[in-house]
Amino acid sequence: MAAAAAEATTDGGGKMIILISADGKRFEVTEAVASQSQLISNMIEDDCTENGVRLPNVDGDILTMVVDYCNMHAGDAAAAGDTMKASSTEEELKKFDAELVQALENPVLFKLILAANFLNIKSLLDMTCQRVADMMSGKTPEQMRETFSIENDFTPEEEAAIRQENAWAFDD
Amino acid sequence: MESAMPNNAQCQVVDDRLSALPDEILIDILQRLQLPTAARTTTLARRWTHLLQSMNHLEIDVADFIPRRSAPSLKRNTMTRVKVAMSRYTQAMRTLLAPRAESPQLIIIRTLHLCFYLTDPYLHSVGRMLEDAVQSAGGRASKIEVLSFSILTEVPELLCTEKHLARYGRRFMSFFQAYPNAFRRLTSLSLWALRFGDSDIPNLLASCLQLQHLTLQDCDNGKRSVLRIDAPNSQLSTLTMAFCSYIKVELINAPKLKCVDCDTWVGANPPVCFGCVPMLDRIRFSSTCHKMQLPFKLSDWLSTVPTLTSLHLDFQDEMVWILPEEPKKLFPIFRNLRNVYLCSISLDCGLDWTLFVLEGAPFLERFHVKISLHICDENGFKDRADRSNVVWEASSESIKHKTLRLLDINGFETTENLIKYIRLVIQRAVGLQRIHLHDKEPCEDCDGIYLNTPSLSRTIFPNNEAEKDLLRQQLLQGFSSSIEITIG
Repeated sequence: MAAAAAEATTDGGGKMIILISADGKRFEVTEAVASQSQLISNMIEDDCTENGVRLPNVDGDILTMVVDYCNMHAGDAAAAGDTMKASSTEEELKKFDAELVQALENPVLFKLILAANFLNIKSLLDMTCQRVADMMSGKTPEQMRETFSIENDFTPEEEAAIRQENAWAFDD
Repeated sequence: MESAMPNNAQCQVVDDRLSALPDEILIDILQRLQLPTAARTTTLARRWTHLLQSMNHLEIDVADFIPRRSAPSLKRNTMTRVKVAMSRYTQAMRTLLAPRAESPQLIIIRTLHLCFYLTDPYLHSVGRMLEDAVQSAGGRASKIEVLSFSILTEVPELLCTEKHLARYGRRFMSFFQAYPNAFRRLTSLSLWALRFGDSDIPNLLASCLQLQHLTLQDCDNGKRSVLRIDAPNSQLSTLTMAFCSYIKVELINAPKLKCVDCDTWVGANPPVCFGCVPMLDRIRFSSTCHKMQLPFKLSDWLSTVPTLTSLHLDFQDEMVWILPEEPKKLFPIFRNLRNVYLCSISLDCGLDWTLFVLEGAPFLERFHVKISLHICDENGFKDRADRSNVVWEASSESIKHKTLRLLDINGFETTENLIKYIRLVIQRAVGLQRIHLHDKEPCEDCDGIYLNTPSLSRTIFPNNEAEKDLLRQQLLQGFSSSIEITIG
């Protein structure tokens, strides 16, 4: 079935390929959509997507989000040269990204970062890393530990020593 | 690998998924934070201590180190605040430029953006640290690719007297002379409120062989001085000048120069003389003009730069300081032009004259017009030139423009004149694909006047679908309707 689908083509998007998540869920996407992942783009170039692409690091629920994201942004690359056409969907894209990123919470956010990193989708990695940065911004170390459940494994003396080394970062 | 958790409640108990991310991602995240926040993560847990000194891209901005106003001892004295900030700044640089003690390999800095005050003695600490960092073969900055300085003066540029300008100018030049190796690696330099000697900028350009971007704000070489750039070996690609009081700027030779941006000039028009600038691609000029600064012809001004693809002129709501010309004069200089921005045009001048650009630039693709609709600036400066000065006669109506795809109008209002103007463009631009109409940008002063003067009618911008559709019909009546019109 996968092989048959891999041969299939659609009107605008060229060949279809199948992505298979860690838990065996299958996603059929066009090459144009999948190529936003540099990893898959390289595989397409090397002709090794025939039997579907297994992604053992990515769960189905996360891959669903990644595929949604890539479907949404598939026009991007094609339209980049043509700002005339892109602009009306540009707003929709911004809205889509903003909603996606706002909804992201621990632990999905971090799973998505890992997936974007593994699949090498730069724009998605940028967006998710920026989300974490925004969550850290302006916080004290105590607040950061609380937000991200980071366990403090320093002795009080060690912590004081490190604080001292970077005193410039702690003054008001 | 962590197996799937059955539900969220359990995840929140122990999972520290942030710290579990690989180093390179955590470093990417740290590089997005303000530096002090990034540095505070060193105390989160052992996992985090080494990451700060592993960053490849650093932006050290003194604004992040200025003590809060609430600190009682620092309340009034700006100089003290600057000194406290610079003291922390140099400490931060020391930490960040030092190789990590326990690191098996050197983590190099690729980009380093520094924004600091031109304040002794800290200035020299900054210089020495950089000089060492770029020179020593094992230094973190030995392979630096991008090095930028933004150098601020303790007294803000608007409050600087001539004495300040001269003192800061000398201080900067002694800084420059003392650290030649750092400056040799410099790729970008932004300077505020400095008075140079005549040979200073030539020396700077001759020494900073990597310098690509130079920004001068509120700088000059003395009263009624001339800036000459004759730098056949320089890499200079963008030159930005703002509020500089040169009476003349001569770009004699700048072989790599691509972009010139000039905001407000005081000398006679035209503001810059272009010499040998074979790569010049984009220019942006923005100013109000005095009565003595007469409007000028683009064909004369740009005769040596047929390479322009983007022209951006901003009249700041005042007189239009260029003269429309006939197409055959403009073809030679506009033959590469793709994008034109004509901004802050007072409606006193009308808009029809802007069509001379369409007639003269056969390959134009995007045409942006921004109309100024302010009612709040009626008492503009005293010697300003008259606004309603633009004289233009359309050449033969038969001229058709084939490449224009976008007409973008900012500050649109539904008036007969503007509708007529757009229809004129549609009629000529046979390849037009899209028209984008934007409402005027909000202005508090204007709003105040409207509130207090109920008799004034506000500008009209279609704000519901019915009005928008009506406007579309008015614009397209009698034309092929394949043009997409975006309103708002």
